[in-house]
Amino acid sequence: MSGARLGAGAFALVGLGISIYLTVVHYAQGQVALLCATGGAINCEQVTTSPESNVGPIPVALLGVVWFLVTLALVAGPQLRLARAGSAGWKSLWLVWSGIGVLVVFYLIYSELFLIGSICLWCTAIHVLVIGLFLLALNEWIEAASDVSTADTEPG
Amino acid sequence: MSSQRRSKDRNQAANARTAARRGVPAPPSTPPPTSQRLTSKRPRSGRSWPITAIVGGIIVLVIVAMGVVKFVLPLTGSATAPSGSADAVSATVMQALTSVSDTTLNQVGQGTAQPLPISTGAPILKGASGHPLIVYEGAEYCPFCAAERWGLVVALSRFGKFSNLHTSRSASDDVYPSTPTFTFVGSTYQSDYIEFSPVEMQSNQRTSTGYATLQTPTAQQRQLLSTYDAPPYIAAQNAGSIPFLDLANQFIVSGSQFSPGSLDNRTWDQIAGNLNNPSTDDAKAIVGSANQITAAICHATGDTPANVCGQPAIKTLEAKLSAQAAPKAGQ
Repeated sequence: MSGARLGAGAFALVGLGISIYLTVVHYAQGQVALLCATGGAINCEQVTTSPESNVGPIPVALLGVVWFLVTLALVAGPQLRLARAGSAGWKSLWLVWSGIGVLVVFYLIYSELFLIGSICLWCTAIHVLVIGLFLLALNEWIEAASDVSTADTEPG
Repeated sequence: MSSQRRSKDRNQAANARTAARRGVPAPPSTPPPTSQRLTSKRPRSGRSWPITAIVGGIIVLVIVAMGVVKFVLPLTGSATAPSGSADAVSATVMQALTSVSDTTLNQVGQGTAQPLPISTGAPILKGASGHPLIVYEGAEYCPFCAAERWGLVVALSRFGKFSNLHTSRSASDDVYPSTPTFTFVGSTYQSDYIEFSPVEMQSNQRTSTGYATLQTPTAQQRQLLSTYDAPPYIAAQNAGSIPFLDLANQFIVSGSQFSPGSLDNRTWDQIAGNLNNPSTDDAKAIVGSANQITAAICHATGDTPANVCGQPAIKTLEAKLSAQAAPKAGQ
């Protein structure tokens, strides 16, 4: 497994852990403490209990769990024999999936800044991890595309 | 290594994979040189990182741009409204709210605002920073919240600074329609002495079921409302009413301390312009309310800062508030 994939796996595991924690806090209804500042501009509780913290009946934190699980599968695909190592198609899928994650992160940051008026540090950590995963996916995809184009031009 | 040799090795590896899939042994192949066995993967080109860095930079720029729109532009006068038709509070009004003179403060004293904040007898509630926590719970449609925000903003501005505060009006189809006020949605408050945790639960926009949900109270805000906005602190028929102010759990205010009717058909500039004139009804109501809230906060901060808590009117009010007996169950 490449260093980039190892890093991506670590990012995804950390993100999965935070998402699970926020999901548990959401459903625990105050029985599990949200360890974060609750006053001023940094206010996790204000963010995680806002109308923007749900998509319909589904908490955004739970969507985060799903996103990171899929990301883990995409990162570990070759190891799980779900894809051939170095498969450009698989890496394209990973890139598209992480790109969707970045777009959602943009919306969530917008919501925090302009709709809710508070910033959640746990959410910020998730945003950094999602962006990091996207950049790793982009890097892997460019390398794969570069390898394919190099192989295509090599004499047989 | 020549390109022909790399291509030959790749073909041999592909043949081996194909054979393995068919369940037949792979033909023997010439082992690659030791140097290639140790580094069986194609060397990374390194061409991807500049592109990745550029994309990463663009992402960071987008986020920074959002931060600039949120935090920098409002300071230069082109604020983004947090909701609905709210406008940034003008510099003139903000100046009036934050610069009530000591002379006016002391001449107004308790003013006409009533009732006084109610003592709870509970321990001091502190926020994450360790400072006393002030909690406001209200809604943009509510005319009584509209009135109470005036004194609250004046009082809190003595301990810290609001940013991105916007004007708002109570609902146009409720009692005391369209009372001019402020909204805490989208605002931030910085203080070295206290923390402020506001929530505006509904907007002033009517929906089929009431008013549109705006912000959801935190678990702590819900718990404070159910505990202290209830008997024995207030009458049972008023339990849960807004506005509700929890002043570090030392004192609470439920409802407004003066009638929203006094603000009817007035502009923010007209009201704010009267705050430094202690003979006006606006100053007696709004500065009076601010002084009472200030005295309650000073009780929680240990009388800091001295330039605020040391004012004679504040000391008198603090002594008056402290002399109250906390209500007991059954009263």
